[in-house]
Amino acid sequence: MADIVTVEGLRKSYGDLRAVDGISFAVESGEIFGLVGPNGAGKTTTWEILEGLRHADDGQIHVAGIDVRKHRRKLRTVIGVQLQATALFERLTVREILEVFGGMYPKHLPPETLMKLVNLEEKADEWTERLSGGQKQRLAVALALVNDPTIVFLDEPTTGLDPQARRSLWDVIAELRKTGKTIMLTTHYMEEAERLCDRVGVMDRGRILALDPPSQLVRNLGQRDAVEFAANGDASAFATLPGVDEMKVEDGLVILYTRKLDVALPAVFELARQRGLHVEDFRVRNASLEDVFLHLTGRRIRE
Amino acid sequence: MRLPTGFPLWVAANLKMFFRDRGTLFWALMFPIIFMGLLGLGFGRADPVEFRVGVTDEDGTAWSARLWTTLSNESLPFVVTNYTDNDAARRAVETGDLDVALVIPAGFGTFMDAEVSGTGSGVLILPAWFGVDEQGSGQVALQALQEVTDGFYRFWTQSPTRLGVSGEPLRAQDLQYIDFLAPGILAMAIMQSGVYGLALFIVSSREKRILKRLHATPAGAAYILAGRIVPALLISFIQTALLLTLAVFAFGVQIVGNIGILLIAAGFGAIVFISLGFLVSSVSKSVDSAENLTGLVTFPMFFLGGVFIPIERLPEAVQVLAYMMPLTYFSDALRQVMIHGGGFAEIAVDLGVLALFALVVFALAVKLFRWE
Repeated sequence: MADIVTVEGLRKSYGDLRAVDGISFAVESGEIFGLVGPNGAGKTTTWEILEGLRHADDGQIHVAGIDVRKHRRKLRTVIGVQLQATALFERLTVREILEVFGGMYPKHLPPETLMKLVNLEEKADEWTERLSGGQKQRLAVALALVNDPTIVFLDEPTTGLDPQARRSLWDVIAELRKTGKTIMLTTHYMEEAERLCDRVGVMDRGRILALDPPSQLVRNLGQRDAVEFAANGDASAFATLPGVDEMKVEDGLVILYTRKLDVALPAVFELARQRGLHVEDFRVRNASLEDVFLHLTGRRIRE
Repeated sequence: MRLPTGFPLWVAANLKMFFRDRGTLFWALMFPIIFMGLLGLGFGRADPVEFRVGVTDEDGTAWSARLWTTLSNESLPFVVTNYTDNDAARRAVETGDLDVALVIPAGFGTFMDAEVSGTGSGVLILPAWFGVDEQGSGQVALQALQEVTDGFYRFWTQSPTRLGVSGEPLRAQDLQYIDFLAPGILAMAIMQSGVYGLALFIVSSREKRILKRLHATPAGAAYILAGRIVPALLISFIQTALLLTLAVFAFGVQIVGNIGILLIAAGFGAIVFISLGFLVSSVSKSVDSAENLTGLVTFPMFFLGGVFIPIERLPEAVQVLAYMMPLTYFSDALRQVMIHGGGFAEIAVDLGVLALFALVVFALAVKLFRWE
């Protein structure tokens, strides 16, 4: 498939802060492409430059074949945008907002179609101030679809939502995939990226540290299991236990990565018994994107 | 504009938002009405306790001075003003500044001398003009005047009067404080709703990042802003209609001038203050600072812009300040048309200044406009 978004050498600084520090990537048509990273990683700045809302300091950016520096208005007719943490007009109904935004585009979808897409038909005549957080976010996604765009930008669409509302929005995005639209998604929920994205860029401090399908990113770690527990006292000796490839300590939480769980596990308990260490909150899990981020940056993603 | 199809929807949405927000609805429409109502009740059309009498002394003798003194006697319900020019006195009756104008003609002294010495044989009629308005205070004043001249004659001659007053009725305006106030309050209301309406909408939309979201559509700034300015203008006209209705039907204020010219003047003012609101929004970072700045801009105009106090009565230094305020020109234009029957010629300067204000302020606001 052809690349529908190409970014080469994108840079953007705010004063001394290098918000985006020379990133390059390409997105295929029809793909769900994600950027994951903590707040301040540069995800939003990147999206806003691609949306034509900010000017890049440097770099070549083409979205749907349009040079975003030169043809901003044309760009805006082919993309749909959901911005991070934006509100809506409180005293308009869902249908009215969809009509008003639709009217701003040369071509647009009828409100009924959009409300059906995001399951808001029952709220059609409700003022938006009476919608729940999840419903508001679904409306924001509907607004991103109002012009039937080929590329949809979603910037942390599920941040601040409860798990149920989050899952319901995931369903909406999964449905969107079937329409063949290219979806550009940022999130700091690793689970979200793993579940939705075809490819994920791990972003931190303005750089993309790795870019692959989520499963590939995890496989690249070469480690299959993570052993997590809290231990009182000096935990450094765990790092050299047989079967342990790598150890991270985060907030008193010890994480051991291993490919030989059968060797590593007994060794952990044996060492704890010998040293008289008290081990709590013990759990074994598959390595995830979370671990990829930890491996790449030495830090965990926090909300 | 590239996308005319959606624009009416956007305008309609803004109107809906205005009418759905009880707060702005109250401040823009109800508050000025209540305000005018209270002031109207307080300073409304009271029965005058004193008649305003203008006297032109063409005689200039001791007798005319005596009559003058008699009229000015404190026990009489007259406020007497001296006029040297009959035309000026006549005009004062027409504009409602005087209830009646009396002329003491040359020969009055001679006539009185003759009457007192018993050698007189004629009758002297003093010419007068009296204003005719709804209240009829001109007629009452004329009658009172006749009684006083009767008394004057009898006192000096001890015989039935041969001194008459002949009043010529003039169509007069009955100007009271409420007449002055009504156009002022209208100007004030248009200022308040214009400045607040646009400033708070833009700043709060910016704060909530709604503007940024609108920026991500192909609509463009002109489309977005015009969609808010058009309803703001409409609301100004609704305000004007409501306030004028109240002034005319509840407080008997007469609109002397052409109502079309009045509405055009109102439109000029609305554009100035909507532009000012736009400028406030362009330089304000938050809703709080926009509210403060709006207060800072409108409050001095509220007191000095000719709403309650005629500019001429302000100290000279303050007048200089007042003439730098758009409300001064706006309230003057409305007043010229409403109570003095002014046409375009009379308000051309006011409208010119307002247009200049609007142009400069709007250009500055556009230059400083930010989406986020």
